[in-house]
Amino acid sequence: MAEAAVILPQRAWGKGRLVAKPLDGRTRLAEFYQEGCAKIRLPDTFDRTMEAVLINSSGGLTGGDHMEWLFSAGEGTHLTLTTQACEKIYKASAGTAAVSARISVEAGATVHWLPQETILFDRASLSRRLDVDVAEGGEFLAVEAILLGRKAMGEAMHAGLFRDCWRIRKNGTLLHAENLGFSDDIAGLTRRAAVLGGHVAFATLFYTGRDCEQQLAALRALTEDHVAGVSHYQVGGQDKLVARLVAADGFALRKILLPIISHLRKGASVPKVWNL
Amino acid sequence: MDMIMGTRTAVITTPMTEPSNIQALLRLVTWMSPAFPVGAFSYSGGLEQAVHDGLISNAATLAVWLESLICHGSSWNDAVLLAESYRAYDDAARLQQVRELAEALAGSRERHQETVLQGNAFLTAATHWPHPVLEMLGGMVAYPVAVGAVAGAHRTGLEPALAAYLHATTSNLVSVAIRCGVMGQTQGVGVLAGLEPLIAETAARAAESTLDDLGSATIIADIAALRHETLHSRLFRS
Repeated sequence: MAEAAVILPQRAWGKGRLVAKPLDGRTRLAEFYQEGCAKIRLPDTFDRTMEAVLINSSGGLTGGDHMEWLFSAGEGTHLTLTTQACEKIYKASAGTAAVSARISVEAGATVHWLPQETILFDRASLSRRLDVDVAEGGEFLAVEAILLGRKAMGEAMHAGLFRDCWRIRKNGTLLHAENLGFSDDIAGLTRRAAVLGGHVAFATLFYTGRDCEQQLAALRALTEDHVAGVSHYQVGGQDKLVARLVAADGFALRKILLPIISHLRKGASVPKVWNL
Repeated sequence: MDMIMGTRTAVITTPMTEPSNIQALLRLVTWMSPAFPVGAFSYSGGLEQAVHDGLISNAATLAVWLESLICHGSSWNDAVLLAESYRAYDDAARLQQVRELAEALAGSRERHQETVLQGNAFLTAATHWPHPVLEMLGGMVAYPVAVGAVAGAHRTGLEPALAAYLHATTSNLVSVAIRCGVMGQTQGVGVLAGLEPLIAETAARAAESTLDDLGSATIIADIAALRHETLHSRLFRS
């Protein structure tokens, strides 16, 4: 690929950054930056929180595309991050799409990372990274839902690559790590009973906050009738809740996720864009 | 030392500083024996729940389940962590990194408890083979990290250590399935015999791995481990 004669196809590239600061008990913008196909919109909120809607204006990702997000929630702020639509990952003719998000949650701040579902089409190739630093007393909620193809549309993901790597630190300790890896014969892999048992929709939920232990029973009640499980435990003296869910398709998965997210947001609903 | 587990060529450093093949073999079979006091028999890694849910009902479905764990699940990740720990046994900073990662990767309360309690018990029992790595590791440490670092310190050979670890943990799960009534002993041995080529191949692949090769796809096995916490009548702690 390095020879001069090779013409590299044009690739989407984007970089977005948002820093929130506290002002008179509310969450206000301190820094805002967007470049390339990364856009951020801030719908009006009428309380102390801020909601940021992330947009990939290229309309989807394919091999070689690159998106980079950076967020920081200052002391005591409350920031919800979501996406305008499901992120669609299309067939890659060469290379892998790379998406990274780095989030810093200062003392007493809250960040909810709630992107809408990521849909991978056949032969898509995506490598994603989520790095989070939560200060003592900070709260962080993350929900990532993945659809390997769209069943209802008859679009299955037969082959490709999906890697998702999370590193979440709290007060300096590595509290949680995820390394999801789906590659090659995706259709064969997802049929396996230990993998997805033929389903194509799944989600991972992570939560750390002062009330992890109190939330366990409610989350168990919300997940027990589904292919899902939840656990509360400590690593390095820090609490976390971890839940995993599997569903037949994206719609079924969303129906299970919405009440869980709403519960962890203390009754506040999911971001408005989720309902459109 | 590459002769211990079979046919592949492993990297051999100066034979003068290496323990003999037989000594390395004896240590690995001792450390990975069900009689080594880590309490392996009391953990199922969620397998008991999977049997309860009807996901594993006979030798054939058990074999496919174990294959998934070895190629795409917790066993593969353990192998990658073991390999890194083996290479990092004399590098405190690098060892600290893999140790932190192994703990953070444990996907449920019981899986975390399973790996850390076995790791700690392994280090305690390994004091019969004194080495500075034991003090370096002291405290909470995940099982594959403890085994990897101690094996590295005693230069058992990485690939043999990986094969022994994968065999021991898989064999333990076969024993769990037998105790859950999935099948009889004879069929259980058959499952292990059938997995032999895969274990050997995976040990070879893991010996070449780095932490970038971590990757799991066994979501439903992870869910089984989560749900085990609320399983009413149970034989196992995970």
